[in-house]
Amino acid sequence: MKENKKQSGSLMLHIATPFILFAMCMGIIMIVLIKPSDQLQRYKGLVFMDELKIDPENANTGLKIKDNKIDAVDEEYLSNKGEIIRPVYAEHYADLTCDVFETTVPVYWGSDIELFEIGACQSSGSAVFGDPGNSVISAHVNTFFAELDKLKVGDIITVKTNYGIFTYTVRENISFKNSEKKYVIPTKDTRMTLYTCTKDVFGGSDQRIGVICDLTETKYYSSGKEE
Amino acid sequence: MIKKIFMGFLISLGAAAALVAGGLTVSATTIDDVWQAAREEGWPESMIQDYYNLAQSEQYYGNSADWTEEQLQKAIEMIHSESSKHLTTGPQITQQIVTTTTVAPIKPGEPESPDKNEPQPSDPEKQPITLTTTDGNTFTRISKSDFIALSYDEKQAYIATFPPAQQQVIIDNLTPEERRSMLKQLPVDKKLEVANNMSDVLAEIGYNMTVEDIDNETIKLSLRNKDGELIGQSSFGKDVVENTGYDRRLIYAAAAGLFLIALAGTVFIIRRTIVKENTADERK
Repeated sequence: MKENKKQSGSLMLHIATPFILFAMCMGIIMIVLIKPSDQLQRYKGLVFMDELKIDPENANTGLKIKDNKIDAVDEEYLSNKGEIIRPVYAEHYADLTCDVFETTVPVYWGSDIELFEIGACQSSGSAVFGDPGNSVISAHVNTFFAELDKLKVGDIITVKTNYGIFTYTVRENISFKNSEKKYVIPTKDTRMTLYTCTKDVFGGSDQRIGVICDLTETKYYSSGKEE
Repeated sequence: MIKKIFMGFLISLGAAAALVAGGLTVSATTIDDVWQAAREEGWPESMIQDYYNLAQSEQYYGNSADWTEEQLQKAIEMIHSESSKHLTTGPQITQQIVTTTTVAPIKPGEPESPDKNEPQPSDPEKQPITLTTTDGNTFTRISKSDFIALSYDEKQAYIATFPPAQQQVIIDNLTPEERRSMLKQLPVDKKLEVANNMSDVLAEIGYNMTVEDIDNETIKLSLRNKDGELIGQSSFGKDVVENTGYDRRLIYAAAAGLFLIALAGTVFIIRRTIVKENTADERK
């Protein structure tokens, strides 16, 4: 009888121990993998754009993501004047490059949860590149704007669209609360504002950081939209 | 507290609806007059920019340069009429609910108050405003900043303290900032009422407007075409500044839960082992 009890206790120990170890390992793995998964998310967004576009969830919302290939254009096709090709909602219409960013950041017109997964979002209440005013772009701090806090005054940011190339220089680093709108509203001067959340262990933060950039050079494609 | 104008967005949808419904002629009224009307009614600039972008986008509305005089006029009328629905005259209610603070003028040589929030006589926004009715009588109303500081109901009640003729003059002379402050404070039920009206207007021309989310802080609206394709989405209020971070609380909570389970299991096994060993020792 005693022997049976001893055996059942030993058996329980043998069964429970792997589960306990598994629970501990899973807890550790979950926390350790958060940052790499964010990186993976960024590359997944860039590599599998087409798959994301036909996400059944998007079909319910009516969101149709329009992808574009934005290629470099020879200097000879560039001129100071040109025509803006206005984007439609959820269109990938610009690429944002900067030495600080690890990858080229695709910019989508409009803001939507799905769009934030595959690139940066330009507010549809802001100025289209080439129009005067404030072009406001935001992206996740965990993915496409993970390096935004590394931008310094004087850094050059290039925006390539299918109708021209716009070069900006960082004028000012900014920090503001998400309830403050002064940086995201239209302005009389022509500028670009980039912002994201501050890095926070638990994710969402009420504080925003970003940069205000001055437009320093504008070049349009003389032959119109490059396919 | 509504931080951004919901109603204005709806009006703008109505205006857009009016704009898309017609033929072509060269007109004296331009699209800029529509934006000007929107500014006069206190629409926020980001919303005007939003609809400027939409209007410029040929894929949605055709070339705005081709819009007719009639279409443009209709849009302007709609902007003014929707706003005026919430600013109407009524019988005078003499109960005074607002008092203005009188500030003693600063004497020569006397230093100005260091507190910048204190009303300054030189600040025109903090000065009572004198208005003239059509029959030539003058009267005074509270300053622009005092009016903006009132709640929606207080604003309505304050205007009602004047005779109807003066009420109309006050309404006609409200600044865009004062109108904007009223639009911001519009009660949720009125917002939904306007949303329904505008949704019906848009449905007639094949556009479907839906309220995705509404609360005291934020309103999120979507506009779809007849094929169900999302062609615009706007958030007004707190969400104007986007949420750009993933919420990790659930992951951390799950990880913490797993650690707790592991800890509880470990404690349980240790206790059982100790108890058994003690029992075995006692029996020996």
